[in-house]
Amino acid sequence: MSNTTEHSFSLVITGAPYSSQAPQTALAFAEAVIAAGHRIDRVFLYGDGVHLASALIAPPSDEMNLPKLWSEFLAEHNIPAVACIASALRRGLVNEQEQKRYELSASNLLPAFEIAGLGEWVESTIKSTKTLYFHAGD
Amino acid sequence: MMSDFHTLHILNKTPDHPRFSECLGMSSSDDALLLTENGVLALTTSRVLGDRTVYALKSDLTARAIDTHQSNVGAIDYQGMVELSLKAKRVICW
Repeated sequence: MSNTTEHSFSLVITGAPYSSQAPQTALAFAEAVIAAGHRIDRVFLYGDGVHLASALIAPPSDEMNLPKLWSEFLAEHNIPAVACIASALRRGLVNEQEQKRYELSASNLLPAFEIAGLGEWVESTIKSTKTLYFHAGD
Repeated sequence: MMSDFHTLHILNKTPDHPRFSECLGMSSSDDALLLTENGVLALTTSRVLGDRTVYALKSDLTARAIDTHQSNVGAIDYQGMVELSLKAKRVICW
């Protein structure tokens, strides 16, 4: 089946890297979307999914570095990615602005991601052809 | 292989997860089921899926050493998953 029209997707990742397969499945799906000539409007991280945006995850070098792979993918295709602020703050994921606001000792948000409310989520689900959720399997 | 259907149910839960039977209960005969991640383990137990149109992600089958050659299950790659999700009028991720 060849697609002559361009479609767009919003992806919502709620499963954490390493404790769920969600970020890995989502990345393979996202790559296939681009390969088919379609677009990804936005990627949302919600709940435990926000851990994917942490700059402090350091897996063994022979294992997939999912935050790094996702960052590279987002940057290469110029795709905006949003970590839900309510989920992020509760899980120790902060940018410099939130670090200052809450007087924390460090910030750890990867540059490919931003921390924001999920208003754009609503907008994207209306705008995109399809919205897919990548939940944890348990 | 990709017949017409209304809703695509993407199911990544093991067969013993409550969401698994919930998904089967909610899907009708004009829907398609796509098994991903540990959802593909349903193919190791006999006949839980009935006569639905069933697809499964090839990479998840391979990772779990599940062979679908003797069954009616359509093994698809991520490209196929993109096509299925666009073909569906509605997608539900369980």
